Amino acid sequence: MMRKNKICGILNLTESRLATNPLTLFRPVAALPFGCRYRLIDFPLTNLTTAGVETVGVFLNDSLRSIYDHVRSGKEWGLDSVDGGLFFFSALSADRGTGLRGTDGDIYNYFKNIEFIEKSGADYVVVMGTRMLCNVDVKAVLRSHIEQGADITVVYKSVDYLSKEDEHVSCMTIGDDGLVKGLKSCSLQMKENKALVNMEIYLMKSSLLMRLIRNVVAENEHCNLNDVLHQAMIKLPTNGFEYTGYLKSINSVKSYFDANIDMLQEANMTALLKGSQSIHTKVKNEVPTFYARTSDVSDSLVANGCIMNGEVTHSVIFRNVTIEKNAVVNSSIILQGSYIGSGAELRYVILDKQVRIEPNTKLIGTKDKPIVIEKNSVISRIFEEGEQVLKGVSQFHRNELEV
Amino acid sequence: MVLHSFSKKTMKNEIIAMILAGGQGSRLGKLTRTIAKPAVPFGGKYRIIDFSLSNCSNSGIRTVGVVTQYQPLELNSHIGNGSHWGLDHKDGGVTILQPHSSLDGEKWFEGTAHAIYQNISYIDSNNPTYLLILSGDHIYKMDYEHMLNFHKKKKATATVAVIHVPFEEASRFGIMNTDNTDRIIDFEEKPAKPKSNLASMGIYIFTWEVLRRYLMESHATGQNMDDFGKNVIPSFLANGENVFAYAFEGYWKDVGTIESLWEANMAFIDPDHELHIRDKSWRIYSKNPVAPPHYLTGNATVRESLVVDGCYIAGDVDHSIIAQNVKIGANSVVRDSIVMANTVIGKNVTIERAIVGEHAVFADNAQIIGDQEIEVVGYNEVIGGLNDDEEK
Repeated sequence: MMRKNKICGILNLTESRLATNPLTLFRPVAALPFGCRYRLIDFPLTNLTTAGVETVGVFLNDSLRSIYDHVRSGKEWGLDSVDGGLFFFSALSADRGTGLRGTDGDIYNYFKNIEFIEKSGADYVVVMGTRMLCNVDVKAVLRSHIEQGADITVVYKSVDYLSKEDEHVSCMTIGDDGLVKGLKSCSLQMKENKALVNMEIYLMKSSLLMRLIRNVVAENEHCNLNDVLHQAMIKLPTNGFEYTGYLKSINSVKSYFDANIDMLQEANMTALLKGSQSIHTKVKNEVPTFYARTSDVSDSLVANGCIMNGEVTHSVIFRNVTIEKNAVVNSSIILQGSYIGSGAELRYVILDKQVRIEPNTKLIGTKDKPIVIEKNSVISRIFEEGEQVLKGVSQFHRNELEV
Repeated sequence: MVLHSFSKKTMKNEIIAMILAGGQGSRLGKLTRTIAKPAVPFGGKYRIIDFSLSNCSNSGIRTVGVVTQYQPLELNSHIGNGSHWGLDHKDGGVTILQPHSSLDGEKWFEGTAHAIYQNISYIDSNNPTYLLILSGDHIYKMDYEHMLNFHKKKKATATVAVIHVPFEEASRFGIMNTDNTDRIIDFEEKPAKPKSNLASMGIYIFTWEVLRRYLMESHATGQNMDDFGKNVIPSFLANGENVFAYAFEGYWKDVGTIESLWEANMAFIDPDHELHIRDKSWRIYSKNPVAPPHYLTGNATVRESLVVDGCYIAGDVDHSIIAQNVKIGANSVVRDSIVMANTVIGKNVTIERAIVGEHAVFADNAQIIGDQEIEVVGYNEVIGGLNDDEEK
């Protein structure tokens, strides 16, 4: 049992989108679709609400549209209760009149809206993001925090291997007393055997977080909440909570691709989507998926609402996807509502939402460089060589980025 | 559709619906032993009552009373506050109406019209002009607004929805004989020699104040008015009321038997099925529990089948419907069958021509093979396993 509103949550969604472009050209990282029917924001939202959090503040640098469209009243996570609920704070409105832009740091957005924590009456606050894909038992973090009596508790995972894309992830060292000793970027640690990855999940007294934010603003520093918390971790006694479940840092197209493909292993899927708590998401009314006589689907995850006529292996297929006869889809991530024409061949491809692949089109990516096709594209050219497609598509995105 | 006036006292609903969901459906055997027929699962992710509820929602009917009686637990929890069908309106919504006792005696529902009589106070509290009576047992898509417009245009006091059935089957139904203007002049319940093939679908629109008068007066005079088909419609005709037949065209099924339930499900697999379940303009809604996507292993083969979220399939599935969270082990074969939610099927299991209830368990090597008759495995039933050979 826990008193109502003992903890409140902050979803820190001011994460940089550059590394996952073009998938995040038009959506924040938190809105990235994942695992057939989820979005990344479902994970921290479920973690918070399962721990009894009834008030969640969502902080974003840019438009709230795609997040709001998905989360709405928070009903699916039980956040539409009599007290508390969801609060949305966009830096776009917080910056008005201050002459600041989102790039100057998100701290002003927090500073201007921090009173929502006071209003919630919560003793503790948990800060989470969405880039670290995981399924954390926040209640266990709170228990550890109270038992250890530190000022801050930070969640980390001990990993054997860090990839090239992980170089901006922060890692920590922890002393024998279980307290955080230091913090450095992971690239410095790559040669060591084990790295302790900072999962950017923090739990502390509400009063401490408010004080930290107010102090920084009083010193007129423009920075991000994560920087403030990194500094505080070093200065104040900080307890490390070791997470043992599935973790993937979504900081590149490849890691996004890999995380989806990871779900094809039942152990990973169970750990992340069920684990100690089932992940909740916006529920859609979809019809069952139809498998035709001509279909041949194996080693794949498939959502509801699809029509399968072709061959699919080692792939993740989101809702309402149609795959026509004689089409071959291998090692690919096909997002909601895409259409793959007959005779098409896709290997190591990510199709964003509502993409149309015309019949007999060929898209061949590689394991390290999956081809990404942007939302609403129609692809009709026949590419005989994988390299050519890769160039064509990434060129297109480069132009988009410069605009 | 709702006519609002500004005074709260006289606020009037143009039409409200009453879904009769109390039926036992005894011919469905094991499948309705512990749940009411409207709660029987259909098509992998629906329950039969989802069709009536979705039709109400899509037709713009905002107030729906669901009358339950027989084994209501599953049904009541399925319906909840109606939010899954978009029926959780702040003015109206879904209300579950169960028999209750009162000063004038126990109130078990004796028949379709009696169930309405017992809930007069609920209907009156919504002050409707018209009352739509539905059965929770049927699978169909229908726009009730068209029927209401027909009722108004004909200045009817009662309208009965009818469907053309093959003449050889007509003696199983309540048959309406109409004149050239669709006015019903004769009603015969299950006639040996049917004069027409217009069968009643058990869907009625009444002008509420008229029906209310018939129900109240019959109660006062002790006249039997328990059943719409047997009592109310004949009484309306005898009194020269304007009773019209509204002809419905399209798919309509009363899945009253194991065979018809199995056949309706098998036909539903076809992506070109007449119900057009993928048509987004008239969706069939249901309660959607959260489950991960379904997973087909490297050795799985799934052909000509419907599969829903949460399944794990390592075996062969051929021409079957696999509902939510079903697990099918390696080398198992499921053919021409319906497997309802949360069933666990071990390895080397064979299931053919069967309906498998929710939460059933098949031990490794178990076999259920229907022949002429469809095999039925009940809810929570365990098939196979140690020393169980004699039983199965």
